[in-house]
Amino acid sequence: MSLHHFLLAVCCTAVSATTHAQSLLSKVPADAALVIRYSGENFATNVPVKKLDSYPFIRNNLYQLLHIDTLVSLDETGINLQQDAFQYILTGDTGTCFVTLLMLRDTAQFKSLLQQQMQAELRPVYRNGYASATISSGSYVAWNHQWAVITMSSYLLRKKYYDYPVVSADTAAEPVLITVAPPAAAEKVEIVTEKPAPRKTTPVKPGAGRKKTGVSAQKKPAKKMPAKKPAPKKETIPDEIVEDHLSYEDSLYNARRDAWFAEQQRHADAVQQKMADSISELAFNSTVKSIINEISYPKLIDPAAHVTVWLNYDNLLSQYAGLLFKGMGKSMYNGWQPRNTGQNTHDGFRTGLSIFFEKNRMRMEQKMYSPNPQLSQLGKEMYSSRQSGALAGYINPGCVAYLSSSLNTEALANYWYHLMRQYLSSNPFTGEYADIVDVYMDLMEIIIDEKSIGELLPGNAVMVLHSLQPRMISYTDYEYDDNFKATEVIKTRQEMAPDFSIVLETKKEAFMQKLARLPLKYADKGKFSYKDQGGYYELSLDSTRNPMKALYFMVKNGRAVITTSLETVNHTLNNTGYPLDEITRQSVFGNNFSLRINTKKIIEQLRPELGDGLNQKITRYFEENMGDLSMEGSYRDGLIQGTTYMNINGKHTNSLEFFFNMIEDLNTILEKDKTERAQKVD
Amino acid sequence: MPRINIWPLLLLCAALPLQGCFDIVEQLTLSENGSGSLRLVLNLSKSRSRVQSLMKMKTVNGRRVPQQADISRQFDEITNTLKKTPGIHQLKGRLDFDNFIATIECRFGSVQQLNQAALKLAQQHQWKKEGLEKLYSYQPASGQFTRQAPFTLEKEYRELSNADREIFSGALYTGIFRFDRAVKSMSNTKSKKSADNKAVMLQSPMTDIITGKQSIDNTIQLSL
Repeated sequence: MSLHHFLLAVCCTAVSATTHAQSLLSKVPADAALVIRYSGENFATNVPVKKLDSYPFIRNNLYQLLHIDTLVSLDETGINLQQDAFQYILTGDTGTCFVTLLMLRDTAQFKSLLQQQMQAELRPVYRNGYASATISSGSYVAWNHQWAVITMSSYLLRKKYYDYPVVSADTAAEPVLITVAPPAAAEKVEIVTEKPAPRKTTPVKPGAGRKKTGVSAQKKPAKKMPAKKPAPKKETIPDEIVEDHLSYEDSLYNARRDAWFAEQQRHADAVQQKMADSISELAFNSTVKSIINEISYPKLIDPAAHVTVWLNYDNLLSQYAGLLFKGMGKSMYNGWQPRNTGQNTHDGFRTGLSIFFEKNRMRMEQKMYSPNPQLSQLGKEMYSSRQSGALAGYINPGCVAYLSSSLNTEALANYWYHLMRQYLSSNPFTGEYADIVDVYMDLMEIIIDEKSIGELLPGNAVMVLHSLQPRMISYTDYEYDDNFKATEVIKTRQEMAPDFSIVLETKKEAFMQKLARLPLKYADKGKFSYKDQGGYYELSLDSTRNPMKALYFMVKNGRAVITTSLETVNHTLNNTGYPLDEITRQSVFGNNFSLRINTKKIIEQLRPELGDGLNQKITRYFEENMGDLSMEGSYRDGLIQGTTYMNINGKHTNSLEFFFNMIEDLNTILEKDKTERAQKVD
Repeated sequence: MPRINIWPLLLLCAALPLQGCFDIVEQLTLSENGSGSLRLVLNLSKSRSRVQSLMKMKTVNGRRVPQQADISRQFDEITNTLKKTPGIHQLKGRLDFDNFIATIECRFGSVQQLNQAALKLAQQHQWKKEGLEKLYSYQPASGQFTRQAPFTLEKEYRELSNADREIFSGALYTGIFRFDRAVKSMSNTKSKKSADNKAVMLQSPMTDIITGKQSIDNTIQLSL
């Protein structure tokens, strides 16, 4: 073979692999509510299969879960772990399907893996170029020589037997007393596998099975008798000879119930199988309108990410809501129908999450987008504000954690109207009165003054955990003299208390002042100490009993402040603030929300609280291996975007490996501790 | 189905508030004629702020957290049962929710009546009953007093999750037995005699007692 031929073959293989990966995405339908993609790169380079095999927890737990021999490799499952895999959820009125699409390396090995999951022999059915089999009730698989579809389908409209309980006499036994001719209904006894038709009379609860069966059996024919004809005295049923039957003691009742459940299960199995078959058929032999064609998918998902998650709120929420209302309609006999989602525009927000397992950190890119221009504009308006310098000044250098958020609350309120309109107009009951709903929502818009809400809380807020301070807390102990006479003594111990500030921007300072002053009047009555300290209010707490000594409330310069820190109070009084470092400045002012958690500091400060032994070992592990967590987000390029970083330390090749290592290491610590404890006990 | 242990993170969080310190104090004073008084104290004041936080939660480690009303009701049930036990009198029960200290004090005619009270409580609350009839015994003639741990909780302790076990770390048991006669000897080598020779004290971590590492069984011989 010439070099040219060889290179051509290599290129073809690579392209073919790419095509396969691509083709699996093309099998994911556009109406999926959730789509997850696992990049083949994860197990090709980040944590190679060999490395994966070497983790004892994978062997001990995952292998057991898959019922595979611990001596084989994950490579021998027949699944091509080095190719992209997909999972998606389809929701409908009758059921939900959770589908997994996998590339295969070796069909024989894959069949062997399937066989190991089954109690019975694997009996594939071959059709239209693929094989399919039932693994268990609700779990189905279909495959060809290249790839496989695993469907977990769940039928959601199972009927409830006890919705219409029918209490009847023990018809398998001889009746104890028959006074009047038994009713025709009681003579003809059949094992009913279908649900009994709902009666118009008030349903009897299962607990009502203690009813006198003789009486119950006579009620129906008694109605046919002339209403005013008095019953002869001799026909009166004496209480003492009426047998008291519980419905669950009734053999025929039990048989009927079991048969009903069996029929329900058969029906559910048939529906679930049908759902799975249609998904397999669609995937193998039809052209699917793929998620790739969904306008938001390419916008929100980064194909270079190691794991991606795409979520359609509209689909998920509307379809589950439909299900909920259908259930309510049934149980209330009120003819309610599920939400008419067909009339929905299905243009709500979609979310995409792209996860990257980088060398020293895990990066998560989150994006939100709505194809509806009006909604998209609302999103833009919600993120149109920026954090104020005065609020940012409360973030002290070296703080344990902070959250800065800046949202346009007026736009947020307007978004709420849109959501409510959409929800109510697709709701089966209110949907019929769309015009009234429209008027009602207009009225709400008039009554609720979103501009005022926007002025009360414009949306700029800062929460800072300055530090965790040790505080001395008192407790009762006993001291014993030489004659073991006990004396109650008050001792103190150290506890960590949060030193925090919550600052909200307000343009309605007078109202907030009124609110802060309100407890002054009721302090004596309520037996708490709330004092005006000249510029701020102090709620004193019993420092010997509470980790916090006091809470301070104040409203000044357009800021409402709740804090445990007097330094924060002074900053507000003097209109000063902490200087920000460059990274924090950029993050806070360049984004609508910014969060930072100093993991090392939190662990360090909490360490004295964690006691000895296991907790200390686990804490030490986290301290050595976990880095800071940060998150920031804003409106960029027509999308609401956010990025989260989780930094890692320690000797890990990349952040995906870190997770596997962490599970393994923590398992080892726990197991070691268990052994040590057992040895101590022995 | 085997469970992959990815929960240590959660376990740590769950264990934090529970890693507690509590004291159990048992003080028994016995007269020569076999009558006496008992004082039982459960002191959680060292973990007060944690208990306060816990009581704001509905469940911890998957177990329901009893609220103040539940605890009061249960405590009243116990004290009522004790009050109705023949021979038990002057019973005082105190629940201090400020400091989280529960105290029960009573007088008894003989230690057998205490055993009966314990049996009655065990029956009522479906606790373990074995050996409760021998919890305390006293022979005035021979001057021998015995305190026996009726059963071990080792099996139950081993079955607890790590998070649940943490509850007992730092917990301390103190048993004080006071007499109006001098103590000649005691069988438990970990116990101490008081300076006036009329009391015996045994202190031990709860975990040691539960796991059987430390016994609280003690036979005390009094001088005749």
